[in-house]
Amino acid sequence: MMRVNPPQKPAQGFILTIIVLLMMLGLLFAVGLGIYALSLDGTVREKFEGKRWAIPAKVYSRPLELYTGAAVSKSDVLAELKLLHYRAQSSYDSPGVYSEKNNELYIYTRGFVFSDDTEKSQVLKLQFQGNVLTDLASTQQNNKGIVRLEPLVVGGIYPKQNEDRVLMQLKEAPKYLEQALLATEDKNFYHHFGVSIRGTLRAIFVNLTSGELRQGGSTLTQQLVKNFYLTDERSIKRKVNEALMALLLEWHYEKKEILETYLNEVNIGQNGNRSINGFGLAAQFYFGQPISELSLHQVALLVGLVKGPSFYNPWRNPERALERRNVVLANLLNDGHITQSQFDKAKAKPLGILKTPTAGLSIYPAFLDVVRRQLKQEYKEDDLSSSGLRIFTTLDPRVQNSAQLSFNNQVTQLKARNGNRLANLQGSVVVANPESGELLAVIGGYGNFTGFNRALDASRQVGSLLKPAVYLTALATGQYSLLSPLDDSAVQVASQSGDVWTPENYDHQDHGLVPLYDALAHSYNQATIRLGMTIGVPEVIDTLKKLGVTQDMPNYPSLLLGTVNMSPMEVLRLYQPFATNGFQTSPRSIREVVDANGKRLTRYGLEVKQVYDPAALYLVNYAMQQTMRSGTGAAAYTRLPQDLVMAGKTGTTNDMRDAWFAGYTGNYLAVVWLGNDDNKATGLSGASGALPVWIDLMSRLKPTSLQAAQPDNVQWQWVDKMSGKLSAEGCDGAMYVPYLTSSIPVDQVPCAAEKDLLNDPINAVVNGAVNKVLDIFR
Amino acid sequence: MRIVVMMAMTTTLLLSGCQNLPSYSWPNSQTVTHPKTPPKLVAVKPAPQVIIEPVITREIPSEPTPPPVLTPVKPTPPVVAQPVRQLADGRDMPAVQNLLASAQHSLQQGKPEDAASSLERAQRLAPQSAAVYQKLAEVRLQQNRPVEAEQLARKGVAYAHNNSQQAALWRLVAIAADRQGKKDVADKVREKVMVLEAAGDRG
Repeated sequence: MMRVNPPQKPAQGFILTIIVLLMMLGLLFAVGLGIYALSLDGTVREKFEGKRWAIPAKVYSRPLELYTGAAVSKSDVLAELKLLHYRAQSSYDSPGVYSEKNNELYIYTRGFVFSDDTEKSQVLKLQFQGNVLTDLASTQQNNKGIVRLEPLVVGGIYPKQNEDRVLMQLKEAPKYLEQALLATEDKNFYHHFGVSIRGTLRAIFVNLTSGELRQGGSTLTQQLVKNFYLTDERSIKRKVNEALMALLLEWHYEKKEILETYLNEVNIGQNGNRSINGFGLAAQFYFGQPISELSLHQVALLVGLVKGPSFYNPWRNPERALERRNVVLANLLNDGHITQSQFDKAKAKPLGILKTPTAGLSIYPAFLDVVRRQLKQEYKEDDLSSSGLRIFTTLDPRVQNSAQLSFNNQVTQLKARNGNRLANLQGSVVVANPESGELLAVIGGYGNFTGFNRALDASRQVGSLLKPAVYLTALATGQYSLLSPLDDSAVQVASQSGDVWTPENYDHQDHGLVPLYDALAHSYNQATIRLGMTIGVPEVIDTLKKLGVTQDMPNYPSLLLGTVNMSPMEVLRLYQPFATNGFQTSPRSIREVVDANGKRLTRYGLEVKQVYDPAALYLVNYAMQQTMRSGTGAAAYTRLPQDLVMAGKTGTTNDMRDAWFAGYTGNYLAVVWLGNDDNKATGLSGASGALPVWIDLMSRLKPTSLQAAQPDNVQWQWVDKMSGKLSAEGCDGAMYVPYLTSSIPVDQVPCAAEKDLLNDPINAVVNGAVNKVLDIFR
Repeated sequence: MRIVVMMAMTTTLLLSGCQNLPSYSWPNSQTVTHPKTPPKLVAVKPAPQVIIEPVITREIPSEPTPPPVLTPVKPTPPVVAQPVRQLADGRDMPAVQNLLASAQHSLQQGKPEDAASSLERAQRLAPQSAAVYQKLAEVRLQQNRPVEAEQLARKGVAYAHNNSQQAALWRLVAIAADRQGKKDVADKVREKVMVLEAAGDRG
């Protein structure tokens, strides 16, 4: 710039010098600009050709499997369709739609690419009888006789910059999206080179007359550049960069490619601290539907939002949003893309957005937390938050939603009934399939999820939940049977330091001699302490370790009454082998992890391990079934069917600080805990606090009867309840009880001996069977 | 009425080439070859139970010993009818049989994880199916994961319907134990297999 100062010269020479200088300056500027542009070129191409976006890992629920004979009712399928935002219509003419006709349900599925197979978009016809899917037909050939609906997206593993995206391709764009966008944002898109002279001039004019930078006049390409490469600052330098980069982008890439990138990049909303970028995610966010399914009025709303997602936020400013949407519709009409009648119809439609946004915020945060914690042990943070992984979990929305309802209802009621005393009552529920170990539902607490996931983080005393391990250890010795008499009189235990401990029963009563099964069913402390002290605390600890408890357990008598801290998830793990005759399957929350290209990275397969003698467990199972029939869990049969076989155990800790219930049916294993975070007394017992949640949950699901396989060395016998002697069907006080074959009693009660004379043993089989058959007809 | 007409119209439009939707039933796969009697897939009727025989069991015990004679220590307890349980073994679910067949197909194609994936789907449908555990154990054996195979086969034993199925599962346990170098376990289990085979299945 120093040369601009010319030496004193005659006028002509002066002008000439100026011209030359200006030309040189111009040249210099052009070269400079060229060099500058070249430097920008690298930036432009690098980002456009590399990995354009960080795609957070998506977390899916289990897919609903449909097959003939599935225990799925019509309302189950309808609930699933609702979660997936399928629309009810009188005709099933496009994906994402279903029709109900008499007892038939037609679903036009969206299809989904699983790692092992692709479920094509197809029309399904379903017929039901009660709670069973009795007939299934499809328009697609299927050699498995089983169809999966697409799984529900339950959340994502988000990076720090809090962006999310559902990538879409131009070919997935619904009708009118491109026209609406161009008609509204950039009429000249297919004719300019990245910048529009007319638009820029208009913007300059507006900005000059108003005295401030108001209008952009940007092309789509410029908008893309602005979002993609530049910051939000408004300066001449940025404007120049934007124009140069827009030109470069157009120079290198096809219009279609730029448009597709724009569709995925543009900001169309905000969800908490997460920005909603791209039309794919926006379609999920505002309508809960895939972009390809959107109809005209929905497309118009999204396009309208581009101008100002916050200003036109349809939840906060519905009128503004509607007005803006109709402007977009008018643009389409004016440019001749839609007819007057299409315009009128679309304009008459309401906004049609969801009541609350779905995408982004997880509906099941505690379950997601369990998944995230496992993934973080095995994957790099960066891979999780940016590589577009897909995580297929075991979450069952049907069970999760039921658990949330049961839990929230109970806690809300308890709070309301008890005023301030239970104002801060908290709790947790975990549900798994006992046979596969698959985690179906996780409740981490009452109220908003704060990160403190009680299912994992609340380590609380378990109380009587440990008792089954005491009885199991005793039965496994072969020295005891379910009818062995136990002494439930008052008991004193001296500790090593000389202190005397006098544990009492919950009801402060002595019950004298009680059959072993009954002592567990009623959770008698005195009988349990006596039994445990006889077989030895270390033996009980050994059993607990075999069953999967990893905590350090003190070799104190109080352990027999449950002075061990465990989280609900750890209790779930402890109870799982009880439900499966000793085959442990650790709780699993993830089925598989698949990369962005659909390649399976990790599969978490079914693993089982025999950890305990099935015969002893089979017997304890009987006692825990009696807990439900006649013991501390008997309330269950006031709401659940009489023929449902289930087992469980209540747990209550000192001063009623913790209320537990752990129980299982054939298909569900659920643990419920209620208590205060600060460990203050709640006044709730396992039976009064936790059990009602469990019962309510089971009544919402379709529990199947527990059907443990009977081990070879177990036999059912008719035995006299009081004496433990052999009895016979029909004799007074006779019970039908399983025994280890090695410990079947020899002595008979008189009634059985008489019957024995009448029937020889072989006939007994036949008679027994005949009686069973007759029972049905009586 | 109008709705019905519309439905009918869309149906015909949609299903051109497949107009018999209402009575459509799952067709048989052309590619699945495994089961000796491929399950007939009629959507409504329960398929006859298919027991998948293990592929790997070609073991002939070297010294056939007579089954041990058991001497009762105590008087025989009265013979009492034992509870009859209907296990959730999927024998009336065509989908379970098809998933088993599909797993076998994957296994033959050298895709053991796909096979395991199908089998676990089957397990979810029929959690107490010995056939599913048997096949899962075979998959793990083929992948040279004998520890898992042994446990899966053991779990299957509990759900076996008859002696020959139990014997087949114990044979898998024996092979898996051998592969882990647990010769004593394998030998004991083989004795069990022999007893079961000698007893055979009535009916």
